[in-house]
Amino acid sequence: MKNRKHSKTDYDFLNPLVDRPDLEPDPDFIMSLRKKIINNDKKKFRMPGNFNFVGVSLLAIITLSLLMYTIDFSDDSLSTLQTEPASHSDTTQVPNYDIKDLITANYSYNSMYQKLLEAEMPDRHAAEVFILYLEALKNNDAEQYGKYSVNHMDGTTETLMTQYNEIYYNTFYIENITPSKGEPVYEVNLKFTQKGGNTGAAKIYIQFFDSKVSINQSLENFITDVTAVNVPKQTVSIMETVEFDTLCFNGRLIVDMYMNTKFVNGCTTDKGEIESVLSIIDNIPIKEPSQEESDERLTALQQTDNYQIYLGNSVAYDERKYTITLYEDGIFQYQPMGMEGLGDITTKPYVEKYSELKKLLDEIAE
Amino acid sequence: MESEQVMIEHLYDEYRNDVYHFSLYFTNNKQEAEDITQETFIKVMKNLHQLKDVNKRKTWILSIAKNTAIDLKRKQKLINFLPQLLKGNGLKTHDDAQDENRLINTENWRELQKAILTLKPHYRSIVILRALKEISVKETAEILGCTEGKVRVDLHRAINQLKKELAIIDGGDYREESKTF
Repeated sequence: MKNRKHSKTDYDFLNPLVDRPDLEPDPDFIMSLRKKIINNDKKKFRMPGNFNFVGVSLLAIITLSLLMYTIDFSDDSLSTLQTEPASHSDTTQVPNYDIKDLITANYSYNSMYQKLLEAEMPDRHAAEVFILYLEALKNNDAEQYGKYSVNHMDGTTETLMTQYNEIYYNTFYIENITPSKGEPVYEVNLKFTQKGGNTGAAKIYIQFFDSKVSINQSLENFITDVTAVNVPKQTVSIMETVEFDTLCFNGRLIVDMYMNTKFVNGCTTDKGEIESVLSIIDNIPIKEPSQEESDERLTALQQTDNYQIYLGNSVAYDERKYTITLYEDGIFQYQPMGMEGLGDITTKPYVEKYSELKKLLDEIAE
Repeated sequence: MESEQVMIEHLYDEYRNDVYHFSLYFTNNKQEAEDITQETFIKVMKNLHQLKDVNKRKTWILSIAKNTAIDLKRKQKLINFLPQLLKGNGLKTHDDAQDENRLINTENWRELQKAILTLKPHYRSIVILRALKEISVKETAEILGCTEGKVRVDLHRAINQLKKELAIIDGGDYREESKTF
């Protein structure tokens, strides 16, 4: 910016601004954002069709890699030919244990992975081992499971795998992580929904002995119906508890690749429409958010594709009875009028319900 | 996967300053400039697959920054519309950020910056891109999604408006002074 070319223009009077103080970003901010971008937010990352923009250096690396790939396989073509037919003829899906692929494809994995990293355990590989352990159970892969589990020789493997096969893997979330006071062991409390609809819980211990990360999980610590055993099921029924006749909403949606947005809003007093909307979000399990979750929601509120639904009465429009916030990630927030803070949030993301609601609201929008 | 990481790092390193500069000129607030920069790169990362012509990566990223900056201002209005929801949650508002003394201390460029903030977002963007960042007319048109002719005309109008605003701030005729440059 300091080496501005000085051709006379109609706007040269703005030159003092070009060299204004504090123009450069704070190096700490730059570093921290760089770290965040690289490590944390790759959920929806996709390769563009053409990537020559990374410059000659990357092009050279890729070219070199391709050359090496070609040379490597041409030198060993016989062995390649001998082994490849088996893999081509095998129609069963080969388990993929690439951690990046797994956390990119599965929202729950990604969320748990980040939470485990944030726990700052003695070995950062713990997050990876934990996810791979779950994936091995999902795939009934005893060999892979044995790499991480200390229980693989005690005869419980098959039962554990059967139980994990009854879980919707996209419903996993970590409730909390507690370090042991005496040993290099972390207790991870895991929650999930089973295919029968019950909410389950499991305690999994991550151990750090002899410079190795391993997983310890006994069958006793696998509860298949936590709602029946543990806490009473807490839900919110807005339709039964709130008196209102009007439903209004607003939201801001991204409309094109340049992130242009449009504001959508609408109101309805049509009972059928109101019922359609509320029936989707009524009676979903809710909980009081933790501090961490509250912070996360506040950040999410800054993003687009979140909606707010207000319930009130047409005669006193400004007096809202209830607010429901629908976040893009499928978490919903319920807040009665006059309540401070965030109110309650759903116990897990309901992405499908969010999509259904979004569609419905778009139809109602003015 | 490795290439993806290299790409995003490269994009970030290449354009982080441009995005930040644009955001700072647009808001004159460091906190908001950081917020816009962060939001822009999160959007870039999430939507990289939409970048079909990589030669337009700069205009693509800056157009996202521009839209994000405009959005931030709209959201500040939306937040005011939702005081009940946000009350007590510790969300930093524009005023809070100012209270934190993050508004940049200014000297003789202060009036120029102040005048830029009075322009409507489209004019403000044109002045920042063309006059301050020296981005070509063609690229500015791509960023703003308009024709090159409109960029030229609107820049001229924006500069005139800016000079009028400066005349008001200074209590004199800035346009006349500027003729001597």
